[in-house]
Amino acid sequence: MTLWEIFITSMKIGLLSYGGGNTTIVLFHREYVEKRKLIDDETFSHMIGPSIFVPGPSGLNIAYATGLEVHGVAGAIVSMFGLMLPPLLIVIPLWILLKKTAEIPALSGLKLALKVVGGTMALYAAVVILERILAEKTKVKIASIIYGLGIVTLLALKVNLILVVILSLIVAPLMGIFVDT
Amino acid sequence: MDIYTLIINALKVGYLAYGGGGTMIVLVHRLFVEAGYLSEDLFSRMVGTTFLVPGPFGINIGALAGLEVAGALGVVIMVLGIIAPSFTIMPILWKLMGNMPDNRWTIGFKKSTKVIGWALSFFAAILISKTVVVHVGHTLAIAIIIYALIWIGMMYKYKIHPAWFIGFTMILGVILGMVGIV
Repeated sequence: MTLWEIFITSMKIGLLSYGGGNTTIVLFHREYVEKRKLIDDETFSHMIGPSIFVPGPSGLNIAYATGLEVHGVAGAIVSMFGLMLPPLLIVIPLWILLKKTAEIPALSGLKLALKVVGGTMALYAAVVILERILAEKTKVKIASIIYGLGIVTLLALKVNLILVVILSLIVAPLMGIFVDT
Repeated sequence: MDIYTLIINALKVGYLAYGGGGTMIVLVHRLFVEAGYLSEDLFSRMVGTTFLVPGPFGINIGALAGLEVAGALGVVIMVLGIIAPSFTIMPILWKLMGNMPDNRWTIGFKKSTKVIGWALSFFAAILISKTVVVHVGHTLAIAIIIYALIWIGMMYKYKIHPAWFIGFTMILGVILGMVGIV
């Protein structure tokens, strides 16, 4: 697979990635494992864990890992930039356009509409994740809700962000106490 | 915002962003809005715009924040800050985890990442909703809350694609703006 092909593949995935990192991971699996057979299933599944654990968008991390696997460091860079480029080329002009348009008095309703979209979609994302948490066994479910509300409380109290992340990460593996292995 | 502060903020957004898009919203809010570099109003609209486009949410919201505070250079700095962990932490973790079998603690960590994502998305929703309802009258605020909850219910229960909600809301917003209701 040439660097150009990696770039085009990532661009295509970038354009189709609606719905967060999980969609991006599925699309990379389809391209590299199912269609092109360049990466085997086991190697790909080893990439998913670190992609989720490493901070930042998990879609970008999987782009890095697949690019690195098929074409070294250059492949990783090209794969990441391919994934980011189409969304950036859409979101920046769109933002400039919407900001300008919302200043036209007749179209001022756009301002409120965008805010309603932002708030509702963030809450919808929380509902979707909550559904997965509630599907866990009782012990994990209760521990997750306490852990989650603890993070929300710290944020509401405006505790230093670095401290919140560090505390969350220290507590994170302790969830294993409630897991049946 | 001076370039030095922007670089530090970009790295903070990159290295602290555990748990997905919700985390990014909270991070950018804390570092750009609460620090006085972006207004609540602009930020909430920015988040709405980011939901309109595909691709990594964190990159898009980071790029827009960078654009607002420092133009094109701001976009470059924010993007590089957000992708920095992929180049620095990812190779190490990949090596380590590749040889590590699934045990109680790694499973616990994975489940916790999901919880962090939930908590931060929930908090992000509160942050943005506050901006929406504070600036409109009581009746409109209640109407917006009911409208949002109905759509969330429909998207969740009937699996209606969010694009329908986004498109409908944008058109409705323009119409209500034209007739002077909002």
